[in-house]
Amino acid sequence: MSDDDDLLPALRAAQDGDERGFATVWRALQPAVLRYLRVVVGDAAEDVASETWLQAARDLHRFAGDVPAFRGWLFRIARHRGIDERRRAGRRVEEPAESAGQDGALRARDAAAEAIEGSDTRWALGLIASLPTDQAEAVMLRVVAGLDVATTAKVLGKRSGAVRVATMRGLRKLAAHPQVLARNAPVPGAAPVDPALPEGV
Amino acid sequence: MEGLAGLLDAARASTPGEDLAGERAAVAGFLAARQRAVPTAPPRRKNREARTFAMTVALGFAVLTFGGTALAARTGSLPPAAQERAHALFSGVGVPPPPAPVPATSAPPTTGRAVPSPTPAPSRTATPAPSATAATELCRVWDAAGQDPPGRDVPAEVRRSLAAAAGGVPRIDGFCAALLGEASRSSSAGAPASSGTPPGPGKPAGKPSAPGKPTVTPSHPGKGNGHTKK
Repeated sequence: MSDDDDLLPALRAAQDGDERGFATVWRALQPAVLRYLRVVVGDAAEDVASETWLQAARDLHRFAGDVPAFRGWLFRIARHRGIDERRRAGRRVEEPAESAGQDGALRARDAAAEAIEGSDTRWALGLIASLPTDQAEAVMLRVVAGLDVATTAKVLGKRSGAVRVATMRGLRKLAAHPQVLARNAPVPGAAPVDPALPEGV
Repeated sequence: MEGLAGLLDAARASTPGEDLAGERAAVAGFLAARQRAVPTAPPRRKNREARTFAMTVALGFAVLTFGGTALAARTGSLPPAAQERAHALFSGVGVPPPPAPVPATSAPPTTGRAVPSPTPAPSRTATPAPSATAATELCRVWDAAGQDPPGRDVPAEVRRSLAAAAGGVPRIDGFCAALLGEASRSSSAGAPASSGTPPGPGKPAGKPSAPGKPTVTPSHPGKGNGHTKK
């Protein structure tokens, strides 16, 4: 996550129409936007991210504020585009019905993701996507995108308290997930734990 | 909690190749959006400002004339020939004909501005044939503005009025071409035609009994005329 102060000149330049400034902002925030959307709309994430940036580019002259505010503004756009996409596709149920189906869907998703690229990131995002939508969104915005509680609450149109609860529940559920627990055990062939962390602690 | 930290790290980890593939497309979209939103280069903008100013002046003039004539037509205070033509022109805009051929001077002073009193000095809106002049002015605005995408920069009121007069936006070009051609012809020839005429787009009887510029009468001597051409 790039430093907000570093990003401010680029943001201002972009608002003045400078494409390099816009590219800098895009590079800094696109990964988080894309991941958030991956959790929300799945495989349509790239397309929806493009729509998000297009709308941001169109409305940039109307935005006033610093980088944290811009983050919130951008994710609000992303969220609305994501909702549009889900409405369009009608592909995703509001909340996974029961834990049995959830696990099944999760396994299928996980297998598919791993078959495609075997990526740790994909695995993690798939797991987060298996949470109830409000929890998944809260975890993504708070923990992965790095928004503060107030901004997250604004993006989601909820109270700060609700955001805190949703985040906490989501994290707890993830921590208790069998696949996450399995990761603690040094199984050969399992995806490696972040190398920065001491092994086996 | 170890597993959770690993999970979140994985969710956050950057994989530049995958994530940043769309940069060029995003920047292209940005540039396109900017181009549409802002008229870009300074020299062009200067031009555009001058054009906009001229257009605003012309528009103000045209709307005054147009509106005044519409009012006069509604109240029946135009001479018969002009009255007839005015109805042909304004019926599309929702100006109904007067109930009966009322004497011009008995027009009720509805607004007070356009029809101050039924006495000698009629307001300039009651002068003969301003309808054609008004439409001509509107058409000049239209012509000046709508070069490549027709009507793009024309103010909405002008477009609406012209569309109503011409019978639809697609017909404005033809309507204006006919009208402007007629205007230049009649002002050079001084044709006094004033008989009843069909309301087609050709407007053959433009400017009955007033080939010159009768609209610029007492009230605003220098104001409108200087800006009719740009």
